[in-house]
Amino acid sequence: MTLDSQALNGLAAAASAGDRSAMEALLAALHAPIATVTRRICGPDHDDATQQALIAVARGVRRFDGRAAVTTWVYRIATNAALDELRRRERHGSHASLESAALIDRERPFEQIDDQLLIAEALETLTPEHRAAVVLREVAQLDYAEIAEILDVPLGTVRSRIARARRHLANALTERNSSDTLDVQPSEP
Amino acid sequence: MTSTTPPPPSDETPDELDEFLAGRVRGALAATPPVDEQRRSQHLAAALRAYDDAAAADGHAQDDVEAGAGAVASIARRPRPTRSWWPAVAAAAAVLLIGVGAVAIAMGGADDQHNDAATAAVEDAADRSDGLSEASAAETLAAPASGADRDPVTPIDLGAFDSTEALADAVRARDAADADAGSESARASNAGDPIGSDPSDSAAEWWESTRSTTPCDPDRFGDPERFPTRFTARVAGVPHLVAVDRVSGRVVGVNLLTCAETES
Repeated sequence: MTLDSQALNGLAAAASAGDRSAMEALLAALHAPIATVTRRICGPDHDDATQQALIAVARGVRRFDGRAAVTTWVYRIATNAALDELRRRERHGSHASLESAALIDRERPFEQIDDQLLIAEALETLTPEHRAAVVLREVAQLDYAEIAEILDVPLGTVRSRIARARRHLANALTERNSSDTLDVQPSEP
Repeated sequence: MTSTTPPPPSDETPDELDEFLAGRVRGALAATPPVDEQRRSQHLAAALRAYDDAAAADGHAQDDVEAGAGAVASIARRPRPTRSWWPAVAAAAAVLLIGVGAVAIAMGGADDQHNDAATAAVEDAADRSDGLSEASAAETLAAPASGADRDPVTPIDLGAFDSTEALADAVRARDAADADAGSESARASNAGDPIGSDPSDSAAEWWESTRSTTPCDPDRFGDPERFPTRFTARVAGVPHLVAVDRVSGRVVGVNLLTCAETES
């Protein structure tokens, strides 16, 4: 998912100055990327996180100073909303399964659907921190420095998390039956 | 979303993953199901409302600065819309604390911990709520009436919250206060409460408008035995309907934009 940063920056600047139509266009452009990230981190029950993230963007755009890329700012908001949602579920003991079947793009070729199911199940067994790192890398296609900024962790930690998460996901594809026993236990630098 | 496996990101660090396998991981992660258009519209509408609200708040603030006889005085007045109803909130909280204190004394002071929790929750709710009006904010904290006294249709408005968790905490605190208000001593201490418990006009109007536009069942939690009291609130600007389920003892809620239900 590659976003046109220049166009988004322009819309954000106009929305920040009070242009409602620019805000509308910005939100429309950001909905899919935000929903994709929150869905991958929270699972299909990502509605609240998506909504919170969009509202945070709408409320915060006037204070957005343009020093960071809009995409970095927005993905930070989406990631925090998703992690907050997971923490809320954990506090209330309402762990929601990622329900892998609901995460499937059925328009893909059949053999890819199988991969999607396995990957969705494997994602669920990652810690939220590892999940967020690999989602920001592989889904949002951010670079390591941006991910480090968003997750507020050192670059080395980002590399470590992504490498471990990738190995875990790859194992899920190659060792289909072992995915339920794998669990990444981070030992970060 | 494309239907092909995306190439590796440009600053990829070589790792031990086989390139074909890495491509499969990437491809599976990049695939996303189509977005539900109705939910998308609801999300965007809620976000635009938040943008409009923020713009209106900024506009009011600017008006204050321009119209005030003294800029410093105007700026000092404007930062938080909650300030204007703070005296009413303080008065209501004081009334409630007196009531809770009376109950504690009547019970031999056995429930000090509960008093602290109720007080904290009341203060927490006051901090979070930006309310519809002075009346609704005060109403939030006013001593509750018995279930029989309430309008069975219009839920009690609790104001605004940052999260569903904060809302659930406030509902529990309110429910506990409801239980306390059942005692004679609490009723006596609340007798002189000038604020009352009837829903404010603005809260009632807001509910009428919301119930006519929500795609969800506005009469959800309508069983008075199971859900004696229903509440409304805005969570990050999004209307919610909540109640305490007497069967499970849990706080249940429904997002009135998406109809997603939560339980805590």
